[in-house]
Amino acid sequence: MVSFDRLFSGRMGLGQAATQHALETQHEDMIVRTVKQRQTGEIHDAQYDYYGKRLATCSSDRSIRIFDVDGESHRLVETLKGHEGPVWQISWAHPKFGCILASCSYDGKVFVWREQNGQWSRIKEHTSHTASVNSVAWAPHELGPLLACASSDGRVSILSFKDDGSWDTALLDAHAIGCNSVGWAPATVPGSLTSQGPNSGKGPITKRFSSGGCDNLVKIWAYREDTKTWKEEETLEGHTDWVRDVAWAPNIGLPKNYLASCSQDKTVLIWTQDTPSSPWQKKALRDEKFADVVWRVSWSLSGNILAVSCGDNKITLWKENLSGEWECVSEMEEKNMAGGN
Amino acid sequence: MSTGIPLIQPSNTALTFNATAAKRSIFSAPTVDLNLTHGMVHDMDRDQNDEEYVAVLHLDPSPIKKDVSADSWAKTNRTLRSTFRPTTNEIAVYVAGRKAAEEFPTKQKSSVEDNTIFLCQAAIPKSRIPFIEQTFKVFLDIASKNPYKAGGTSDYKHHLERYNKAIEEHLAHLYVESKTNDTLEIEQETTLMESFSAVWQLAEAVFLKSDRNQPIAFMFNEWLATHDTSQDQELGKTLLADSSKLTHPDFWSYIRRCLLRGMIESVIFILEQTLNDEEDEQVARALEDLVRVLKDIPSSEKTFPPGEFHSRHMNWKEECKKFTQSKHVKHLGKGAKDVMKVLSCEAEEIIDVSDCWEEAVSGTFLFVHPDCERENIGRQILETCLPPFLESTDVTLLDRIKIAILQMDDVKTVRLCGEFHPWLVAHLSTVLQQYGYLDMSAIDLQDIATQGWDSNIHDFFVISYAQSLMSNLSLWEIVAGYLIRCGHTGRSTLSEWICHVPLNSSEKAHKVLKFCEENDLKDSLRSINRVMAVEEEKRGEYAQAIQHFIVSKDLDRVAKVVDNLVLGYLEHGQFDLDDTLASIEALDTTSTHVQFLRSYAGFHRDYKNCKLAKAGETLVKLLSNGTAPKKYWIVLLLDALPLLENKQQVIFDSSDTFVLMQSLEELVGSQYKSEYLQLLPQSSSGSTSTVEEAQLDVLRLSLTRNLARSFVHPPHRPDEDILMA
Repeated sequence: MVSFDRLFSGRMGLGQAATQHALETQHEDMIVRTVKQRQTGEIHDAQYDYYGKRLATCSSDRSIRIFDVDGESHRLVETLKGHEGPVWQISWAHPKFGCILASCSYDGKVFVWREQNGQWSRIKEHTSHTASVNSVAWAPHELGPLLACASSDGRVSILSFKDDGSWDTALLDAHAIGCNSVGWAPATVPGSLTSQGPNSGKGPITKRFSSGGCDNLVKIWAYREDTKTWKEEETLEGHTDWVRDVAWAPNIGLPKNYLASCSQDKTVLIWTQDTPSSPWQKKALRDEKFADVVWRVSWSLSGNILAVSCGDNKITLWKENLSGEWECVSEMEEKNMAGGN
Repeated sequence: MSTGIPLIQPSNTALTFNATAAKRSIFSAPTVDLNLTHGMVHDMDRDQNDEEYVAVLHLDPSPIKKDVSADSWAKTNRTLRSTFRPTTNEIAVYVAGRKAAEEFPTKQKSSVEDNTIFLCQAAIPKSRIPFIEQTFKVFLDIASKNPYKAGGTSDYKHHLERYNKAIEEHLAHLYVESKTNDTLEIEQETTLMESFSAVWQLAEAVFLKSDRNQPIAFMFNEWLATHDTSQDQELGKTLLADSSKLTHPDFWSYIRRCLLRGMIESVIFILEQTLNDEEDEQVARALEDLVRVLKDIPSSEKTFPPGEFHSRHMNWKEECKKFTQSKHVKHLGKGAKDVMKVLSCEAEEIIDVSDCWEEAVSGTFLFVHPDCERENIGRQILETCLPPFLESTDVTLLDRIKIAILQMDDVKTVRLCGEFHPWLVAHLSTVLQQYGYLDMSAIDLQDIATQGWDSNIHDFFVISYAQSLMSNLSLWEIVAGYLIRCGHTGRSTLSEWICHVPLNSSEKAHKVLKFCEENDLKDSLRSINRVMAVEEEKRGEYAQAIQHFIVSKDLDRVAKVVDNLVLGYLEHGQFDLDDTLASIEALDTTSTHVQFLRSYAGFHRDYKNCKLAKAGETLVKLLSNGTAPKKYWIVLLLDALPLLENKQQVIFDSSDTFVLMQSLEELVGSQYKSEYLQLLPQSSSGSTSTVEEAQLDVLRLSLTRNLARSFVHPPHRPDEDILMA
């Protein structure tokens, strides 16, 4: 057990001293088992569902595991198999669409899984990509059941689930060498919540997502209602090596768009945009580079805490202070590092 | 020897707690270095060094084995990653593969640690829940006041007392709990609450006291006695019990600390006890003189006419000077030297013999500037007292907060409290702002404010506190209660967050929905209703599903549920939806599907109750007035068969029969015929088209026969249908 610092306004580690417990996923490499050797089964992604009651993990062992998580108790409820390569990422759909999970894999496929009456089944196999699919993300629920997939073949595909049970697919040439990540923009325009009230029901809806690629670029894509097509809206230059992850902050009363990107170049950039038509401004999360590749950026639900996963085995939590500066409020690292290993 | 005389001058609070456990100080200044890497700030005025305040947490047990270096571990395709848990801001940390195993040149063995996810939960101690609930109520009460009209002294006193009471009750509970359950959690919680208490009461004394005539010097001494009990009570008891007190090595240092902390009565008591035992006349005389001097000290607690207290104090200083310079003093021994420094009433001397900055401030207040006004604390006291300690000792964040309060720097106080704990800053700023002691607009938020941030800083702090409570979902109503009072930002946050609150029971769902309704959270209401409807539909609770889909304005989903119901009927041949309809009929809806369902259910009810004419009339209406979607027409026509074939009574007259025939022809003559006839019952054998045609032929024949009958025996429409056997 360790102390867990509060993430909010204070930082003294008192009071909110919290707990940490472990959950063993039991992922293992299916192929290697056949030769009776234990092989790597590294987890590549872990995602909570909408209510935080279920945790899905995916791994190099080609499986997806789903756990019920309630306080300190957790129970493996399902193992989904079918991918023929490491499963890179998973994404839960909004519960209004049912209990639906998407997964993408090194095998170039995207699967959409659905649970009904306690039984999981694969309801869609998306095989349009010709190389590893590295990232999947469901759109905000206001936009309907839309799934974005990013692939090493350089393309991003957008799957839309139609009422009759069929799927439409749009394929976009996104990043020539390969695409590593996709992330959706919040459906509501920044500032609209504050200017019109959160429940006016009149806030404009935007249909945008971002992608990060091996061309060191972050791209913003927007849907044009007039032509019914996705268009590249903006190319954001700032990284000097592969962009590993992009994450759009949830828009909960925030006055502007916040987009975080992290890269092989050991930096995290925070991109901000006041309105959908304003220019993007970039700002490094911190002045100096991180110690290693930054693999993942993830926002809290309230959009004011950013978790940064760096290759130096540290997870750092960042928060924008009252003056608009980003400050690291907490670090998590494995125990032995403290001993100087 | 009497043991009834207090060795310290405890406040009522301390007595109430009866917290005399030797191992824990009652109100010791809490340390905040629980996280090993917390840095200390050595300059009270310098901006905080962010790096130094980063808390480092370690995953335990480590995912890296002890005999493996982090570097070599990382080279085996491993790294750490994390993901946020929605709703609660908790974090899951796991060992992740950097690349696909297939891409990696050598296969690596996996371990249990590789498959372990560390669920880091910002759990709130259970013991704190009543405190959270209690202080939320006070917050609600304050928030309901108009900030510009509330200002009455009695109001704020009342609220401050309620906050104090909440802290005290929680502390009392913790002290009791610690006797049987001395865990780290209890210890940390106690430390936290003691900090809250210390900051809260100091802020109250400096910022909020309505009785400005009460000298701050006296109040600070009171506060110090209550909140910093580093003065060892046990030592006091030991000294009292000692028959040779003056020779005890700690006697004079104990006296010195008591004097600096304003515990004059305790000093006088112990000196008198010493005097009683003293046989040496010269020593006794010196002690007598010392006691006399101490008894003559003008009490800063009393109120004097303007200027009188100052002149009394100056006279007393002279008296002290004479005493400290008298030849008798040397008989008290070398140990008394520091006490004489205190009684010199010189700030430098007092600082020189003080162990900590609070002691120096207290001593300077008492012996140098007892009539110091609050506004002059910084200039008269702090400027002199603090530098030596800031140079030589570590100053914690809690120290900086206390100093900011003494400086009467409200903005700095709030900023630093914001660094310390979200509860403290949220509630202290609420009180200070609400009663006009704090101008929140003075706090710099320019970067955000210029971008249209439509909230004030106070909201920012309260939202932060509410977010810190999110990890405990049983507190959702409190979280929501705070957020809803934080302007647009709070509402927006709440609007999204409340949708993530798990609806574990119908009671909870009802509560959440009611909250959304009452607070006009329309988007949330829609979203929650929609999710509930999906779940209900999955469970086959169609009535509830329709009800919630209607509220969420998902009329297409209503249509789907109705489809399911009709399909269920076709499959099972039963249409018993009384409960469903009872709920649906209460809804005011324009959904044609619901209207159809109502009428269709009415048809079945009438048919079941042998009101055949009425049932027939309903069917015809459904077909003729457009209520029934066309895909259901074939179902309605098949439902008409038993009525058409009724031997005792002609149900449909000729015009009704024409409507039925026309409807049938519209289906079979349409280019969408196959689609319209999809709901025809399928046969398990034979080709679909053959079965379909056979059923249509039956229908046609029946319609034709009924048409003939209707001409011969036009139906009469009695009030009541004939009851069929």
